[in-house]
Amino acid sequence: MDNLKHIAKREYITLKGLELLIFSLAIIFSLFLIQNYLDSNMIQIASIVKNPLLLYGLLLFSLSLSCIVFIWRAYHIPSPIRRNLVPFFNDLGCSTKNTFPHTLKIFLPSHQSFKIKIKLYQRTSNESCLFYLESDRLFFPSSKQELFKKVAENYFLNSNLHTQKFTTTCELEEIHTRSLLMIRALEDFSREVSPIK
Amino acid sequence: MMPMPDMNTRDVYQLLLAFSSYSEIKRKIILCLAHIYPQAVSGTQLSRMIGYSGKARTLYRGVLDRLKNDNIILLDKLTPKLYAIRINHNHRLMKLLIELSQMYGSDLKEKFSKILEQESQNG
Repeated sequence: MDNLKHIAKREYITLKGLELLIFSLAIIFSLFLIQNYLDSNMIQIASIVKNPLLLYGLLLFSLSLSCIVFIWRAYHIPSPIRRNLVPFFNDLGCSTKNTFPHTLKIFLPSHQSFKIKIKLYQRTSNESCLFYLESDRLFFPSSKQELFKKVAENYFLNSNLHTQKFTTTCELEEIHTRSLLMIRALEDFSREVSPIK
Repeated sequence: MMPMPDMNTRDVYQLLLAFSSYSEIKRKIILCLAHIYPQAVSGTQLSRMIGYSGKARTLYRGVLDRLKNDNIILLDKLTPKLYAIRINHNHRLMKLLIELSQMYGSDLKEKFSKILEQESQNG
C-alpha cells in the first residue's frame, strides 16, 4: 500500500512538472510569435538563431509532445494502482473503463455504474492517493428521498438530494471495502425503488 | 442483567459492515466520540484520546473532513483554528452506536474522560 502511495505521489509530481514545462514552452512560443508579429528588435532571441523557422518548429514540436504526454498521463491511471483495482471489480462481475482525468468507471451487472476519481496527491494534508466515489444520477421521485437517505446511512455514504447521487471519499486501504458498500447501496436502492414482481 | 436497547439485528449488522469498511484511525475516532457523547472535543484532545501522534492538523485536513462528508461526525468551527468535534447523533447507525456505548462502555468512557481531564490540566 505504501508503495502505491509513493507511485501516486511520483505521478502527481510528474504531471505538475509537465504542466510547468507546457506553460514555459507556451510562454516562449508566444513571445516569439509576438516578436515576429510586431517585427520588433526588443526581443532578439529568435534572430540569434540562423534559421528561425527551425526554432519555431522545434518549439511547436516540444509543446505538442508535452501536451500529448500530459493528456496521456492524465488519462492513464498508474499501472500498479490499476492492477490493484481492476481485477477486484472484474471478480465481482463488474466491468471497468478509464475516463478522463484519472477516473475509473465501474459498470455493475445490474446496469448501474459509479465513478472512482483518483486524486493522486493532496498538498494541503500531504496525503497520497485519495479516492472519490460517486454514483451516477439515480433519478428517483421525491417520495423516495427518505429511502435514498436511509440507504446512504446504512453504508456510511453521503446522500446528495440535489444531484441524487451517493458519494464518499476514502483512502487507499479502504477503497475495496468502500466500493463494495457503494455497490451494495446501489443494488439495495434499485431493488427498493423497482421491486421485482 | 442490563436491559437491551431497542434495536434490531439487521441494524447492528449494517453498523458492523459499514464500520469495518473504514480505516483504523476512522474507527478509533468514531468509537471514541460515541463513548464520550454528548461531549464535543477539540482536535488535540481527540488525537490524545485515540493515541495519535498529537498532530491535530493532519486530522483536521484529512480524516475528519472525510468523516464529516459521510455525515458521521459534526465539526463546529469555534475559532479559525479550533473546532468542536462530536458524533452525528442524528445518523441512525451512530445513534445505535451511542446507545451501545452508553449501555456497555462505561469502563472505556471512564478511561477517555481521564485522558480528557489530564489534557485539560496540561492545557
